[in-house]
Amino acid sequence: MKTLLIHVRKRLLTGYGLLFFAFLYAPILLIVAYSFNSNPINMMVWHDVTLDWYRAIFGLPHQLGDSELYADSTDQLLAAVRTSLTVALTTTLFSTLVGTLTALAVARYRFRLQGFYRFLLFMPMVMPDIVLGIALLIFFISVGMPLGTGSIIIGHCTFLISYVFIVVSARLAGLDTRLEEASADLGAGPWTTFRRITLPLIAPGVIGGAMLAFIISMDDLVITYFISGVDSTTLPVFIYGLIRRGIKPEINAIATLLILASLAIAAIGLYLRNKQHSATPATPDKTDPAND
Amino acid sequence: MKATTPEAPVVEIRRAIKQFRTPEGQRVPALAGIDLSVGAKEFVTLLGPSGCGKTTLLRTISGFEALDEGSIQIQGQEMNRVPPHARPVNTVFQNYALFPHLSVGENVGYGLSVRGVPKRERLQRVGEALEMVGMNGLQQRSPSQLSGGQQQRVALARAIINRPALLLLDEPLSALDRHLRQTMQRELKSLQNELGIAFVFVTHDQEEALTMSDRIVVLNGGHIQQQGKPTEIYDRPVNAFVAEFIGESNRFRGTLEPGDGGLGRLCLAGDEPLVLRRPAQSVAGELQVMLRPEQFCVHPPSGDRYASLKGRLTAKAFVGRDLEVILETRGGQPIKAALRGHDGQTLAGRELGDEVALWYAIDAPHVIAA
Repeated sequence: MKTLLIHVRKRLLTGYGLLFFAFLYAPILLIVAYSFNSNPINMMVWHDVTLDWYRAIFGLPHQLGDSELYADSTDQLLAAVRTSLTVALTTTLFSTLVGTLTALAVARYRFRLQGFYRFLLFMPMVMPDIVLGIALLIFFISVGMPLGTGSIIIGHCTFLISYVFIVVSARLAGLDTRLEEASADLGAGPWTTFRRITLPLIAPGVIGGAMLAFIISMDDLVITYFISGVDSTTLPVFIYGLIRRGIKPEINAIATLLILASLAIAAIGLYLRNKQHSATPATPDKTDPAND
Repeated sequence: MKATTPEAPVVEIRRAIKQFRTPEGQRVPALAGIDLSVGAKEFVTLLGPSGCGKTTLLRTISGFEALDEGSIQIQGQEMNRVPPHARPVNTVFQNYALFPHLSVGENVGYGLSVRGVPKRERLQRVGEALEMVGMNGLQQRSPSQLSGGQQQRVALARAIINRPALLLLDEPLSALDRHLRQTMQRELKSLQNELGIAFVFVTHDQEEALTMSDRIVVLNGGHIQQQGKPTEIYDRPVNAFVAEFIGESNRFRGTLEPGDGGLGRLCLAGDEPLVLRRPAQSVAGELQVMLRPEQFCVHPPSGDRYASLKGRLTAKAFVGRDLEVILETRGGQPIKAALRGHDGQTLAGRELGDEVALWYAIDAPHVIAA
């Protein structure tokens, strides 16, 4: 009786686990599956396996009629991807630099109103996107700044600096300041100490912050929607525009490609992180005297 | 021969004053006017309870704390405005502070590398430094793969590779177990002889200080309480704090009356007077006298140069070599004694509550400031 109960409980737990992952991944798997469905009218009804949707995106020859696709999408799509990458790379570079330097300053120096500055740096993260978007839009209009790639970059930096600041600060909090003192004690000036001790030790935080900034910048819709100009549409804004003209199967292929890109970025991030961790490889020593 | 003449001090600190501000805004003196000089090959220990200013003093020598007032000279050079990386001293940090992202070899060679010593020479000197601490061959290891004692040795090798004029050690042995600590004490001492440089060693462990030092500097409340050879500090503490902090002591407070034949009688409240040889300098009024627990015996070798104190036996405990007993005098003064051999055996046979006499040489009581 008791063993049966345990058995049933174990089954229930397994079932729950499976349901949980289905909850997380079913929509994504569905989109990937639909991207290979050749039915142009109703994607919920399976016809045949096809790569035509992908061919259409890349402007390759395909057997689909114009009415089945979003009109002249390929060039616009590529332009949106280009804008997104430009914005994300510039934003990542800038917010990582400024966010890291800010984190160092706040962690290493004591100054008046420090707690208040820290609070100010947290604020953009909890500010509702819609508020930030509208505020930025009004600001750009009031100062007479034309909306375009530049305004998107500035807009993204305003809140991504905070993200980098927080990630790097967490890393710095775990860094023993005596390591920097030891470096100075051994004759290294402040710059050498930063380059050879501080930076390598906070590198995982800096890389993590940069990855986060890149992904959020690539992905942001709400804020970007307000501050992008007509000729500078990012990918999320572009996709949102497509959806408003009706859902066509082509969107599934675009989404699948985005998933692939995200996985690639995550993989690079993990690779860099592991590389950092194994910077001092645990090489077995052959002439190894016994530990004392 | 120059070696026999007193050499110029490596470090000369004059009237060093340093205050810290608490979060509540109060000013706490960490150094309240310290004068200290360290000889060229001297092993000096800064000893005191936590918060006494010993670590602050060490950090003003290494340059991590700036003095509010006073001056620090190292090898005759004014150091007040010289940053840590430009000072000819190196430090062994309390928790070793080994760079976790560098190998043992890279850690030890770091000081040479930042000074631009070519790789060939660097590798050779890293080998030599590791050899001195018995760790050669482990260059490729990561610090996290080492035991506490091994990390300690790597930290030592890293600190001596720049051939500093002075090595500062900030409680370097406090994280090691007792057995390893004693081994490291001996090794540190012989390393210092081998290198022929001055060591300034910070500790709160009086046993460590007594074992290793040429000179002990006892600090409390930002002041130097006493400095001198370990035996001086132990046998002739200048005040109650030093007597209490180093070793165990029984202290008797009373007024001194002259007696016969150069003897004096310290009149205690509620007890018979304590007989002692009158101190050379004339002291008047109330004073304190110290007797160490091991200065007592039960069977004095001769009667005339010994005097006794009587009390009831209130506690006894065998702690290995000694029998530790506590008496209480009629006046309520507790007396702690450590008895050995025949003395110990005698008292071990007595019951708690018995009246016993403890003898001491009349030369033994040491007068300290009241």
